[in-house]
Amino acid sequence: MENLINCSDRLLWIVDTTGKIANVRGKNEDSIGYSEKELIGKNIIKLFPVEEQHKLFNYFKSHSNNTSYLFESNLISKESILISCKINLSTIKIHNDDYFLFCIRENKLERILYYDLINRIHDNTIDDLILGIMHEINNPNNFLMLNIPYLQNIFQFLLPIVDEYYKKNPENKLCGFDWNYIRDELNVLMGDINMGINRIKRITSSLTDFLVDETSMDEINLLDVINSTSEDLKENLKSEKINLYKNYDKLKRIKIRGNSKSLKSAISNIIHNSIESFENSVLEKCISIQTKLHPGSQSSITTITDTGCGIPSESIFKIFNPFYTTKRDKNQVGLGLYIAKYIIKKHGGQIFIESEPDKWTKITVKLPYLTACKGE
Amino acid sequence: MKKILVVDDELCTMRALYRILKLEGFEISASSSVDEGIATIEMLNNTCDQLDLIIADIQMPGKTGMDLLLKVKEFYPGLPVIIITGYGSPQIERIFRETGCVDFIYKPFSPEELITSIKKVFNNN
Repeated sequence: MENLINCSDRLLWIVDTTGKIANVRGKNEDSIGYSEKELIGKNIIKLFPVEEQHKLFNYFKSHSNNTSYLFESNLISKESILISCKINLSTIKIHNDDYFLFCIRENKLERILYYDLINRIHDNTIDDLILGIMHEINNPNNFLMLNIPYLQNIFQFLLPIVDEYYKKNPENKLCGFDWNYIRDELNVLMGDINMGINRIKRITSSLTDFLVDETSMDEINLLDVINSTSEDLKENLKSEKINLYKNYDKLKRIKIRGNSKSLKSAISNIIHNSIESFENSVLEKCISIQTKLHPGSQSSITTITDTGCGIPSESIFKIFNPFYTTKRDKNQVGLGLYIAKYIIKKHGGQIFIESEPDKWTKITVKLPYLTACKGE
Repeated sequence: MKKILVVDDELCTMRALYRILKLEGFEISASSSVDEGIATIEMLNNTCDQLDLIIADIQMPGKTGMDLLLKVKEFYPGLPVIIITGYGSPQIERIFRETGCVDFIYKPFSPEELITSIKKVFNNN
């Protein structure tokens, strides 16, 4: 034991079953920055980045005596530097009590700043660009959003004072207008400013849908995603008197690799597009979602068909373009289908659209699947 | 009176937050960088005039809101931190929440959203 403990190129930590560091050896201060005294009593979990903690939990849950577990992980140093390490984790008994022994060897070449992690998550250009634009727009928009209510309160306070003044001096104009006209216009003016602020907010928040969290791509059931999306939109469909039909070709489960939240956003955007196609329609409003498999290409095919107004042939090719909308007056920003296409592509899929003006529109989503099973 | 430290490098945000929080009856300290914020926390702690809450931006020149959060979690674990940011990414939110911020508010937010979040923090405490 002492021989092992005296290895100069490693750190050795003895950790009790509650996760607290009970004893340490090695040049801890040179490597991780904490002195021996600072490490003892510290919870070991806190030295691992959140993304890597599952590696420990997996071992803690499933360990048995005399088994060891070799894995690579980062540790967070005292200066918040992320240190890449090879860790050999095993169980030991000291005076009949169980402990975990962490034998840590640092990959010295791979040090990176912990707060670089935030940048590393979005390590491709489009994500960086989106985040940058959002930051640059959201900050000044925040000045407006925080200050306009304050300004409104000031106006409310000033109104009786100005009223009093114009009662005595009705001939005086304000910005070339009568006071009574300006007085009524103030609310409209503030309302328009608030509408502008909220529209900017909607645009920037829809940009977050582009940030597909590839670090949390899991095996998910596509049918659960569709069901949960349609459940969320139930009230919306009901209030618009739209009937939703679903047919999964007797499939019970289609396992795909993906991010539920992003896929929900994609499907929700497609269904929203269908809902909007029924504007002023007097015919029966139907949306049908059908999912089946195409085993030849290991793909699932989901079609979302509506009996709405359809899309004229001259504009169908623009439908996936960013900021393309025919409903700008309804406060639409024209990002929904563009986002849907982006998310589907990030999942290795494809999206197609067909339409017959005044009759129907069908959007087809093709996604690769891992496994599928049928059931009653 | 509850004492709140606001850490944000944007002067306009700082002025707006000052007005809103003052109107709600809070006592405000303001810092335009993480280092300045940490110095303020330490100074107030030494004089036993302790803070009740920190509201901090993420992206500031020099150190970031993550540096501040890590420092607070290590040395003042009971002191709640609300993050306000124009970086509206769910992944960043997840990391900050898991590191221990009590709330994560996306800019732009309304005065009501902020006050609701602050009241929730104080009620929970």
